[in-house]
Formats: sequence, structure tokens, C-alpha cells
Amino acid sequence: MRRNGAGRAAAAWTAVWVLAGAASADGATAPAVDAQEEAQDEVRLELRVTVVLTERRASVDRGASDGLAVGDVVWLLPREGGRFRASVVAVEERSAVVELDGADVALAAGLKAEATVPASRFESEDGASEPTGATDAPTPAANASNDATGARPSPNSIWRDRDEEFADGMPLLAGVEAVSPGDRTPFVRGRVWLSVDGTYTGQDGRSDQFVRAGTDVTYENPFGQGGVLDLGVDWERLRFDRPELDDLADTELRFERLSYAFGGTRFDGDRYQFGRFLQHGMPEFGVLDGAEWSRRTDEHHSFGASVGYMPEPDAEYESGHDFQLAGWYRWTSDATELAAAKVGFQKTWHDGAPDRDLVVLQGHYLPRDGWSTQASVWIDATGGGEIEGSGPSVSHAYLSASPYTASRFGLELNYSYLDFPELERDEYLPTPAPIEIADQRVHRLGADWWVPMGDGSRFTGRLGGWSDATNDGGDVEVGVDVVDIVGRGSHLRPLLFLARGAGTSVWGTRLGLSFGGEKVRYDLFYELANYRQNGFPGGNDDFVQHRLRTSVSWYPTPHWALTAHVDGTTYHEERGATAGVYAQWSF
Amino acid sequence: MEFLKNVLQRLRRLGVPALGTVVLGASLVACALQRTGGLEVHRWWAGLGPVVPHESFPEDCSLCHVGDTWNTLRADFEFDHEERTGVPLLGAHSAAQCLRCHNDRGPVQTFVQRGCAGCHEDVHQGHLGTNCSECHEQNTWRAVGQVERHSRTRFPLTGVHAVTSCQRCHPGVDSGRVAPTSTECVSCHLDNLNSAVVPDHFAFGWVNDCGRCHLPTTWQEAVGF
Repeated sequence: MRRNGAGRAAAAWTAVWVLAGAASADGATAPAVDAQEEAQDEVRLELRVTVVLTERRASVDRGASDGLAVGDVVWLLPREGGRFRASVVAVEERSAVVELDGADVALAAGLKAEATVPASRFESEDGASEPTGATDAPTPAANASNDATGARPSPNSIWRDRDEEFADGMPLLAGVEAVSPGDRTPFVRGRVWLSVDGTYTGQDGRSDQFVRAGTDVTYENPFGQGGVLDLGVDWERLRFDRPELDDLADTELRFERLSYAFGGTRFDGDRYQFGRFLQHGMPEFGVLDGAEWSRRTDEHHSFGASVGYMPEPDAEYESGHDFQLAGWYRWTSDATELAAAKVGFQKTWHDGAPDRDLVVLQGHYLPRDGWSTQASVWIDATGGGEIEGSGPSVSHAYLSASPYTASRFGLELNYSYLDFPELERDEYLPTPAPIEIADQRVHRLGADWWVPMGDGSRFTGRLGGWSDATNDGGDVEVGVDVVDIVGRGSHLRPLLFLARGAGTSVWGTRLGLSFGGEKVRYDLFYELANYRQNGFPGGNDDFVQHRLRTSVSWYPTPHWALTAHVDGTTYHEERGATAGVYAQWSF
Repeated sequence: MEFLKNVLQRLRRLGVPALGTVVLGASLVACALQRTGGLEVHRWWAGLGPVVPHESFPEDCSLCHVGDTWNTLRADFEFDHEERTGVPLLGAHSAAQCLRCHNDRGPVQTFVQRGCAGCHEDVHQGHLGTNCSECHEQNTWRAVGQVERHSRTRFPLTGVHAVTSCQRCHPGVDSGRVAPTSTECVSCHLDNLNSAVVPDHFAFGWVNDCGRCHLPTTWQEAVGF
């Protein structure tokens, strides 16, 4: 029998030790007497939930061959703590179905559990230990009674050390060793894409044309060291025809990524990356032309540092003006990262002059049964600028929270805040005007929810609000998401919406329909809305706008995607149309 | 406050900030030099065997693997991820190699819990939240439906704004940076204002409140005279 996984090995060896203790005569390495007596009759199994079948039923990775039988009690052990009783209701050779007995616990794949089964199930009629229902090669548990001649050295043997994790009857090559990244076959994966779009408006032949092409390539283990070479290139050709102004045209070739990273695996807690890359430990610090190092500690915490130049976040990605040093520390509650907190500090210089002292705080709490919460805060301490002066201030914050509801309904709350910091670097595009830096700040609050309507259909809704230095506004949406109405996998989404912007209020309806199969998908979308321009004289303040969008996507193979779309918009006395194609090959 | 100032002044005189810097630096160096011990220390990581859990797989390795290593899967390899694990693979995820998610960089459950950013680079650098599928579809990762989503902002897109490339107002969008743009017309239409000489807008002081004369549904035509 091939033994795979720590869970199975641990369970099996628990049985080995328990039965070995029972079989041991000399007691030199036997467990305590009480434990022996308890263990003589029972074997403890460790299990994991593999598939959640219903709210109260799940499949586990142990079955009849491991000694489980219908009616056995299984104790679920969520990482948040507690023991929850479930019963085995069906058993197959290598899996079983358990059902919660009473207590309400969130079932999830990977959830640990344990069960205690009678040791007699491992004994065959002739008294030899054998798992119930097992017809193949014996497990360690099955061989536990042979321990005296197998895993444990014979009293007369010249060998004094126990043959670790091996018992008679097991295949010689039982243990499956992990293949380290450096031993894996080098391979290349990635994608190549092409996008062509054109927009035309009815007035004066105004038009936009875009051609974009790009590739993302990852070359794993290129040098036999288990490292990863990353390449990301974008090429774009843009043209804007403006009758009243000079036309704009631009062509850019941009290397967004070109880096080599190694380490950071379970074989090596240190990770190194150099080249052009998005910072791995703290993406909030941006893309870097430089190097980053990080280390994972034994307790699953980590910390790291980076140095290099920051390309400007525009179409050209020009580098060399903004130098940065950064460091961060990440704390995790345990290996499962139920809770984590991270703090990072970045110091930047723009053309040699000190520019930004940025502290980023980030954390999450992701209980399986509770509110999953993630938050980030950017704190800027700029060096005494003319507009904002000096001193720390929150320049950006983000918070999202979503409760676990066992699919009874869905709810997600979001809050964000932005206050432009005073920087020499062009961090925000378009560059905020001094008055925006001085006064502008935007709070946003949103709640999205859905409630099931049966057959997979949902009632959906959203409520949002925003507030900046001079205005307040918000939006409301209510709709339904009906599935399988025109064939399997189809979605029909009618909704009503109402929104108030800084200078525009809008209300209307939208209708979306998506249908088709795995190879070809069709999408239709229509919006009818009334836009009211606040502050305009009567007769020029209300405009009805129609928008129609159609697209067809073709997936001839799992590696190819081809999409064509046509959008049409009519507003006031004008017309606008956009057409485009997108092709992508993944490899 | 006075007491605090005095304490700080004394510490400053004693050179504590400099000393603190030295201690902090030495601590960082000490941390950096402290080896983690590789396999022995990271037993939890190293003792797992294959990075893809095999507990419930059939015993016949050749059903999935070919060759004399564990590296190669059969050409006709199939695995119903949703049925076997309860986790559906949507869009392009269904064609992804197992090792893309189940790899040596950590247990997949922790990545999944972090959301999309657990596996994918957050090119928006944390500014746009964690729910990527709100804007991106999962086959090609393109962002669709942005005009509708824009009605939730301070600037619902009406008229020509609804058929204008995102890049015209958000120049950083190519590199994933979608910062809020001022809702003032001039923030995007400064070129138009500078070229508006008949009549001379600057001479008349018409540099604000464009909506008094212009409609947002058209580019240049003034109304209401």
C-alpha cells in the first residue's frame, strides 16, 4: 500500500504505537499502564473532511479499510477550538460520510477530525491484525501486531534501532518523498494576448483606436535550483482623433516584470528576488527595480527587506528617479493563518531628496465560522511639504468584512478612505492638483448582499455611500440573478439602480443575459437610464441614455480564448460605438 | 506633556536615539544571520510528502503518472476537483497545472483564505480590495462592465464619457493603478480649455463651472445662450 500524507501516516502510526504497546511484553518503551489498558481496546484515527456535501454532511478521508463503520462517532476539531460530534452514516473502502449530530459547526474541506474505533476491527479471524475490509497490502495499523518482529527490533537482533515508520508487509518503497523544486522538470507557462479596440462617436468623426499585445511568461526551475524566472511585457499602440485638438498617438513597449526568484519554499525559508517585480512581501510598496529578501520563521511568521528604484506607474514605466528602502514583518497566529498582521515601512527619495516615509499596517482574521475581516492602513509621514506640512496622517485605508453564512445568504461590507499625500513622485495619475492634496479626501462605504431564491437563483442588492470634501452621494441596486433560465449555465440578471454622483444623478434599469456552453458563451447587456445633470438649466438637465453590449466568447481548447464584442451607446443626439476582439493563448 | 518633553530631552542628551538605532540594526543583522535550519526546522512543510495531497487517490500510480519520476502526468489525466475536494475551479483555473496552487510555497488552504491575492499578484497594490472577480472575469482576466460599475462612484459616466477609454482619465490603469480622478471638468479637459479662444475663455474668466454652458454629452458645443 502506498502511504501518502501526514494525516494517514499519523493515524496509522497512532495505531501502531497503541497496538505495539499492547503487544509489548517488556514494557521498556510501552506507554503508561493506564494508556495501555485504554489503548488495548481502541484505536484512534485522525481524519480530514475532503468534501462538504450538505450543510450537515461531509465526506472524510477514512473508510472501512481504516476501521471506520457506520454508526461510529467522529469528533470534528475546527481550528477555532471545540469538539463537535458527528456520526458515520455511510462507509466506502477509503472514505466515509459523516453527519453532524447536533452542534452547529461550519463544515469545510480540510477540517480535522478524530475517531476512536475498536481495535478488534483490525484483527482477522486467525488473530492477525488486519484492517476491516482491506484486501490490499497491509497498513502500518494492520501490521501492528507484527510489531515485535517488524517495526520493533527483536530482543535477539543485533539491531537496536527501530526501523522508523516501517512494518512487515509494507512495500519497500513505501514512503513517498517530496520532489524538491530543484529536482522538478523545468517548464514554461504563461500566456500571450492581443487586444484590438476601436471607438467611434457620431460627432466630427471622433475616434479612439487601441492595439495592445502582451505576454506573461514564467519559467520554473530554469537553472536546476528551483528558482522562477518571470517576464511580463506589454506593447500598446494608442491613437485618439480629436477634431478640435491635435490628435494623440503613442506607442509604448513596457517591461512590467523581469525577475528571478528562488527560495521561499518548504525546503528553504529564505526567499530572494531581484530584477523588476512587484514586491512580494508587501505589494503595497509597489514595483521595484532592485532586490528583495524575506525569511519565514519556524513559527510561520516572516519578515523581509527590499532595496531599489521604483518605476513610475505610468505607461512608460520610467525608472531611476525614486529610490526606496523598505522592511516588513508579518505575524501569523498559526500555520493556517487564522489571523495575521503585517507592518511595513518604506522610505523613498525622489531624485536624491527625501520624499516619503510610509507605514503600512495590514491584517486579517479569517475564521471559518464568523466574520472574515481584512484591513489595510497607509500612514504617510511626509517631510514638511508646503501643502500639507509635516506629521503623520492616514492617506489610505481599506476594510472589508464578510460573515460566514453557510450559503444561507451573502453579505460583504467595504469601507475605503483616500487622502492624497504630498509627494514629489508621480504616485497617483493624473497628478493631483495642490487643492486636491490640501482638501480632497474621499470616504466610501458599501454593502453587497444576496439572498437565495431557490434553484440557485438569488435576490441581490447593494447599498453604497461616499463623501468627499464638498459633496455626498451614494447608490442603490436591487435585482435578481436567475440561473438556467435559457439552458444550463445561463444567467439572467435584471436590476434597478439609482445613484447620485458629484454632478450627476442617474436612475434606470439593466438587463444582463449570459448563456451558452463550455465552448461558446454569449453575453447580452442592455441599460436604460436617465441622467440628470445637477445645476443645468431645465431642458438640458435630463438625458436618456441607452447602452447595448453584446459579446461572444469562444474557447476552442482549454488554452485558447477568443472574444469579440460590440457596444453601442446613444445619448442625447449623439451615438457612440465600440468594437473589439481579444485573443489569448495560454501555455 | 512637560514631563514627557523632559524625558525626551534627557534621552536625546544621553544619545538614546543613536543607541536605539544601533541596537535595532544589530537585532536585524542578528535575525538575518540566524539560519532557520531548513528541513529540520520546517518539519511541518518538509514532512508532508507530495505537495498535492494524495490521501484519497487510487493506489495505482500509473493511473495518473508516467515515466520514472513524479513529474509527468498522463496525457489523458483527469481530475474532478469539485467532486473530489468540494472546491470548483472556475474559468482558466480549470486548465491550470496542479502545482500552480499546490506547490512548495505553502499549504494551499492558507492561499485560498487570502482570496485571489493568495496566488495572484495584486497589481492594484492593495488599493482596490480583495474581491477581484467583482471586476475581472476568470477566463482571460479582462475587466468587463466597468461603465456600469462607475455609476457607484462620484462620476457616473454619461454621454461621451461612457464611450471613452478608461486610460484617458486614469492614466495609470495600464499598470494597474486606478486612482480616483478629480470630478472637476478641467482635470481632464485642460487642453480643451486652453484651446478655447473663440470666445476667449480665460479672458472672460470662464475657467470653472463648465456645465453652465456645455453639456457633458458632447465635446465642445455650448448650449443655453
